[in-house]
Formats: sequence, structure tokens, C-alpha cells
Amino acid sequence: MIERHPSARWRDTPSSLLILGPDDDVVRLVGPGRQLWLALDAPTTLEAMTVEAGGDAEAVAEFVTELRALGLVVDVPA
Amino acid sequence: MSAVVRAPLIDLEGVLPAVPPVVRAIAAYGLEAPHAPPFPGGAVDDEEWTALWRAVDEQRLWGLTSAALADGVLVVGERRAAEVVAGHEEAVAACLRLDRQLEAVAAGFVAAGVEFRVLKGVAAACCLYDQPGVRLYGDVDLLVRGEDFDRAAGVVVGLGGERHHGEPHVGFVARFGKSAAFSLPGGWEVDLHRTFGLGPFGVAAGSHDLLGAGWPVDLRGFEVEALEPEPMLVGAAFHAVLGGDVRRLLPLRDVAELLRPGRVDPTTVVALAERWGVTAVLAAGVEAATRELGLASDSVLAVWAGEYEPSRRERRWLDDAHDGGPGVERRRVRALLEALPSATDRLAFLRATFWYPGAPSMADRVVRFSRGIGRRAQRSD
Repeated sequence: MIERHPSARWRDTPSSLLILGPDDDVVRLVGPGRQLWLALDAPTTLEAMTVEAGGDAEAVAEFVTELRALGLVVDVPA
Repeated sequence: MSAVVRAPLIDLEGVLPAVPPVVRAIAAYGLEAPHAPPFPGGAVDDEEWTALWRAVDEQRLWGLTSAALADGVLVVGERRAAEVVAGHEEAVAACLRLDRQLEAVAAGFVAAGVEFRVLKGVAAACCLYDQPGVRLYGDVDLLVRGEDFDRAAGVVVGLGGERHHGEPHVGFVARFGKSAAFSLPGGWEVDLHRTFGLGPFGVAAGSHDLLGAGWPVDLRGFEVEALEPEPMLVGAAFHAVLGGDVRRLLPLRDVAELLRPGRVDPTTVVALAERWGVTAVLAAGVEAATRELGLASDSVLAVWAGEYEPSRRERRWLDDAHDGGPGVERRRVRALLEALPSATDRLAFLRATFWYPGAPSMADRVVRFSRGIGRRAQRSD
């Protein structure tokens, strides 16, 4: 299961979704990335995110790996 | 029905900067505002763009501008749209960083047992706007009780905060002042308030417990509390017509957000303002927001505000709020004394203002009084 990092601060805007990560860098999400972040309102699985993203499991896994590297999501026990 | 129409309770002409009509359209965007200026029929031209850019920046309206662009009601061309988006996103990033400062201060207050409410920017953004990212802010505003003020200030100092201005003696702001501003490391500003505004209305409100029950504010990972909608509207009215930010339309927009149907109970908010002795400020804020943003004037509160007849004292206090004319400092001191609830408070205020340790000689006092001690007494930060 994956969830947003508790110290990630974020805000949605008309043009993008901005996340302030633990290292004070701001990450900008648009399109499917924005949708996936919004879908993380509760802890979720890669499979559920893949469904949300329309079935592209590889792209979702890559996206989550990137968010994890940036410290914006964490793995939690199921 | 009287044929005589009274003057506005607060005249913001000369206080609010002149802005192009499109900026007022942006400030009212998304509201039920039948009297707001319309958006231009076509793309904004070069000349309009320069003035628009400057005003949007000064007015902190990147968010609403971005929303109007995204919805296609404002047309500026691709390159300029990208500039608006960049300006907005930069401002949102600053808000997120401010929220992190707020989180640290809030944790310090909780540890010190200081109850507080968030005011203005972050409270308005998260409680009132459909998309918090469109309401931008540049500092953290917190309200605490007078008896907790110095302890709260100590918490902010403990976090590295540098107080902008001193006070005549310890405890002055906690009892008589409005607020103190602090710079935190990194240049972030925290304003610690014990009442809503400067001057006699702020003093009147400040002699009551303003915090009340809180309104939870979800900051995505931590929670703080804002004022409930009715006291928030009273505070927003102060900010809109008497605050240091009256040069901006955004505080008026906050009032307008609270005037949306179902947000506040008109009877409750008027009764609250009466209890705090600030009915004229509420009426002035509602009237100014209705007028400046072109809101429908038939809502219960807009009608009430339009018909509100201030007492002579209220009229005098309102008139002096933005008056820089001769004698105003003396009138302000007099108004502050009138606003204090008891003779004991008045005596203590005079002592604290004029006879504090290290105070200047009597001769100096006379000179300083005429040069603006009244302003110092009001503004003691």
C-alpha cells in the first residue's frame, strides 16, 4: 500500500497540483499525475492506481517510484 | 422610505489604488456579482496587459486570474497565460512554505498550552474558497488571547523569530495593542494578533474573548482551527476596511466569500458584532465588499448594512480611521480612551503610554503628543 508522505504539503490550482516535499523542493503535477495524487486521499495499491490511470501499469509504477524517490509517498502495511 | 442616501460608512476611494476594470472583474470572478465590470470581449492588448500585470501582482490576484484564464473568460494569449501560471504557481509555492512555518509555530503553541486561531490568508483560503490555491497570502496571521500574548510571543522568539518593533513596556500590546510582527529565519513573517484591528474598534473588540469555538482547517497532514464563520466575518470586515491591507481587494473578496448564501447566520453575526461594540465595522465591511465587488445588494446582510445608521461616535471613529489630517492623532487617542471598557483600563492605558519607565520628560511628552504619540499608541505594533 502507498500513501502520501505525512509531511508533504500540497495544493491544487487551476493549472497544476503543487507539492512541497520534505526537502523543501516543489514538485508540479499535471494531467494523469495530478489525478493519481488526488486518488491518494487514502492509502491505496498500485493496482488500484493503475485502474485510476486507465490501465498503464508500467507508467504508474514509474510514477510512484519517482514520487517515492522524492520522499512524497511512503509504503505502508496493508 | 427616506430619499436621503447616506455617505458610505467607509470611503475607500483614495485608499484602494485605482486598478483597471478587468482587475475588479478578476477580483469578483466566481461570485454572484451582477454589478462587477465585465471581462473584455477579446484578448487583452499590450497596454492593458502592462497595467493588468502590475495590478494583479500588487493585489495578490494571481490565483483568481489563473482561474479566469483556465475557464476561458480572460483571454491573454499563450505566452502571457504562461506568465500568469508561472506567477501563480510561484505564489502558491510560497504559501506552502508558509504553511510549514505555521505548522512549526502551531506545534510550539500546543506545547506551551497557548490556544490560537489562524486568521486571514490561510484561514480564508482553506475555509472559504472552492480551491484554496486561488487565495494567496504572504504571512501567517494568528490570534491569541491577551493573557496568552506574551507567552505566544515567547514561543515565536524561541523559534528564531525577531520582533519587528518593541513596545513601551512589557505587556503593553497584550493589554492595549493589536499585534506584533516577527520575522522567522528564511524571511517568513508571522503576525501575532490579540484583536482584529488598530484603533478604537480594535480596542473594543479586544476587550472580549474573540476565539470562541474553532472551525477546523485541514492543511493536508495537520489541522489547525480558524474562527467560526460569524466571528470570521467580523474579522474579515476589520481587515477589509480598517486593516493595513486595505489597499487590496482580496480582503473584500474574503468578506464576499462569507456573504455567499448559507455561510453565516445574519442574526448571529449582527448580534456578535453588537456584543463586541463593532457593529459599524461589520456594516462598513459588508457595504464596501458589496459596492467594490459589484455584489447583489439584496442579500439580508447587504440590505442591513446599507440601512445601518452609525452613531455619531461610530461615524467619528470610522472617519478618523483613514484620515491623515490635522488633529487626527489627538482624536485617535481620545477615541482609544472612549473604547476602553473601564476607568481602570483608561488610567492604565494613559500610564502605559505616557508614564512608563524611561519615558521622556513632561516637556518632551507635550511635543511628542503633538507629533504623533497617538499614532504610536495605536500602532505599537
